[in-house]
Amino acid sequence: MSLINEPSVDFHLKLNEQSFHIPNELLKRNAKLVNKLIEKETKRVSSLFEDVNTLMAGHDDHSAMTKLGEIIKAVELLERKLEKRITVESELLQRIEYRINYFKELDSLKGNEDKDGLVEWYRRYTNILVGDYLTRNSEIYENELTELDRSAHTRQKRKLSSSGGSTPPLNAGIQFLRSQGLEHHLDYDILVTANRISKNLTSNHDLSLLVNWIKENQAYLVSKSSPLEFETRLQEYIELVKDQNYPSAISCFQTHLVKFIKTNFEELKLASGLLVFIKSYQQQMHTPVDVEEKDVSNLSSRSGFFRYFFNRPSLKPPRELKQPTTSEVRIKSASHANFERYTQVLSDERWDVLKDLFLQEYYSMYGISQHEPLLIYLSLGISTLKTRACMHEMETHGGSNDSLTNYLRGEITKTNCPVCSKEFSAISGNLPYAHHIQSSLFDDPVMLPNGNIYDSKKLKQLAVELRSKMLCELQSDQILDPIDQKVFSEKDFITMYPT
Amino acid sequence: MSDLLKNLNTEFGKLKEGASDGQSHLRRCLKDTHEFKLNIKKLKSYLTKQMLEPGAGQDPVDDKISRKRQLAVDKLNKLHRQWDSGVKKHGKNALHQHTKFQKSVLNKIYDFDLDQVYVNQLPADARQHIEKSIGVHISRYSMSEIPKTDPEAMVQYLKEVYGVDPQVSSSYVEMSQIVRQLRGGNLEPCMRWCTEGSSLQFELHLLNAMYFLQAGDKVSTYQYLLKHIPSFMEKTKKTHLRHQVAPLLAQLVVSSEAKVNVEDQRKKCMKLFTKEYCAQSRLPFDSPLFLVVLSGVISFQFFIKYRTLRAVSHVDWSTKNELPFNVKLPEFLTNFHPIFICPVLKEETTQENPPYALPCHHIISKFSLDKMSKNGTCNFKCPYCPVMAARSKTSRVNFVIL
Repeated sequence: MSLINEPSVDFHLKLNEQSFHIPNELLKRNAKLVNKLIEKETKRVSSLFEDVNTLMAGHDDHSAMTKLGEIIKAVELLERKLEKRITVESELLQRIEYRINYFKELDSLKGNEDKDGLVEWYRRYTNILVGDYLTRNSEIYENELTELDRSAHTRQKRKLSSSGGSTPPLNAGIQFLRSQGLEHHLDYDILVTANRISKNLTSNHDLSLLVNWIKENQAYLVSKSSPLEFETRLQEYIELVKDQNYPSAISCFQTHLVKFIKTNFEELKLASGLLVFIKSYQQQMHTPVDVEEKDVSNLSSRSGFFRYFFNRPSLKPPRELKQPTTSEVRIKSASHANFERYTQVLSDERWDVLKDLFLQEYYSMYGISQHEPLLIYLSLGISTLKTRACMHEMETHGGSNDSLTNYLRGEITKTNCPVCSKEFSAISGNLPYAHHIQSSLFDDPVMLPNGNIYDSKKLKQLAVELRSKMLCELQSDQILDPIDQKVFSEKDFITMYPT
Repeated sequence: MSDLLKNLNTEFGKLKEGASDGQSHLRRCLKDTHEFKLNIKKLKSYLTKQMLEPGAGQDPVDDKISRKRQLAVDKLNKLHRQWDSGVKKHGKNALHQHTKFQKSVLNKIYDFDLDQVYVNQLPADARQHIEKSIGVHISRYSMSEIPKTDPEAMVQYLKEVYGVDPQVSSSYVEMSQIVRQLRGGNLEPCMRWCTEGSSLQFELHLLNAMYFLQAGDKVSTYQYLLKHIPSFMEKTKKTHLRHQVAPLLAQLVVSSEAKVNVEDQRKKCMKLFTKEYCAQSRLPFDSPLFLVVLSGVISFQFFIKYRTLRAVSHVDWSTKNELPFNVKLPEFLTNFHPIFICPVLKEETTQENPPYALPCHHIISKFSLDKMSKNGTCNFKCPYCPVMAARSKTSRVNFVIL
């Protein structure tokens, strides 16, 4: 059953598989952590018990009792850790429950044919999507970042969800969801973590959070044979080279990169070449560089790099130079090719590539779509709404009467079409139009002598309104064309038969 | 209830039921651990007491004491073994139940990835515009829920938190203030705002009367209605409204407060008010973002269906500038623009191919006109009636929706 041609509840569930998949994935992780914990602690307790047994057998009662005390302490610690895991578990179960109830509500709204309620339900649905978009894209506050830094070390990633909003400035998305009472409908902790790690890459050029995340999820990445770890370590190496911290660069290469020799030989060749490339260029170029130029030695950006090595005093077009000898040309072009290859490696764009790669792995690990759902819905929605008449503003001809023109523009010829709204017309240009199989016009179409076709009833109504508002003087059988503000008689109406 | 939802609900019920009365696997783990701790503590103090007993440890071959000791040690080891295997089992079960949930529920609702239909991607610079449309959306629906009440502070808050353009948000300030008061039960500002004799005013009076009735004050309800409704009826032309007073008066007599649905009436007032406010301020009633998203939800299944069909027939997504299927939208999402399908070409008329009226008042598109009149060189019969038409007798028309 469908009230506004909306899809079935089943389809809605399929559409929102993520919102059940993610908490279940987190539940599994939680259970795995518990198993690991139990594994570790039972082993420890078992060995302590062995000690107790030997001590007791050797009648060293006093030490046995101390050991027993140790056992009690270990068990107490385990107890506390289990309690934490249980809090996490019940919070996650609650999330699932909220979401099931949300769809149950949809089911009953459809069952009761409550159209207003259904539209209201979709308003909340839209708000969840807005919250999702904001959470992924909003600025991350400084203290949030530091907090994550701390919690990453203590391995308490789920701080946000468990503490009831004690952290002051929040991500705009979470704030929005909370104000709407929808915070249980989005796994924002997962999205915030993704946002933090990726923002830390692109705006701070800092790898530490990503490296931590990779360490925590090594097993997953290896099982997918993901290039993420290699690319991250390569970036770390490149940054060290840029900093001219060669000893650290070399040790990074030796500890983290060498193990990829089989899979990423070409890149490694390039990476090791980079060291030679930079050093040899420095030796070649250093002597002629004036002191001022040296200060620009900002190797971290592509342009800075270029300026540092190549872009010195003369940048005259080659024609004005003396004809270079062929050997000189060969050297230049060869170094130019190298230059291209190496600057690509040194480019800042690599940070964006790295971020995209990280997000791809991160999202697919939790079964989250790669693109923001809001963007997907908007793309489909715009195309479904977009007509051939969209974004062609009706050409109205303002007469001498300003108040009339204002009234007509503001109330009559203005469209509420969402695609034509200021925000969406800017992005709808390249999207396809909707496909229509039937004309959709109005009742009683009449043509005026100027070729405009209107709903005759509406046209007469407009005339009444204009007369009562004293905006325009009209005889009792006259109407006004709101487009060109010409006055016609109702006798001029030509009934049309569009099909 | 739909099948998948039912399945999800029952399977989750099982998961949840276990957790609620302390029976979840993790809780059992904890319980066992707790008991284990208490038992060791007890045994420890028992053993300590024994050791302090006179003669303990002096004579290792004392049968009685050593037997007691041995018993305690055995018990200790037994407890340990039980606990060890117990927690391990519960831990495994906990993991197992979520894997099972995945298999029996989630795999059934997994049918497609959202990304699969994102064929026509939004341009790279779309974000700034989307953020603006989010600003309009938040101002329209959520401004009455922000923790600020002062107009300037409200605008400032939205700007700081969500980056909403003050120009956009300020046009919604008055509306959200009145809505906030309405929600809180204060009808005064809304009453002042509404026009005399409007249906909004009537509904507000009704709501106010309901408040009195809800408080159990029948006399005041009666007096309120008596004071306001007759004078309202004088001012309004909407005489049909009077029929709604009767049921309320009837309830006064019958006195069943439970039947007065104040919440529904309040919602009705808020909706009516926002509708009138938006119309008066020339703002769209629903935010464009919401309408586009709703259209997206409705069309989603068509995109999925089409993708599946394409995948089966190994054809790529059509690159035409029109969607390959028709999506039927509800009335409030259509009729923004006139749509005319040329009856000859079966195509929508466009700027390049506009509609033309024939002398018989039938309408066809320019391309079909050119074709049928052989570029204006000969007369032709209207495709709908026997009247002959000449190209020179046709005129370009323009549909306008008011």
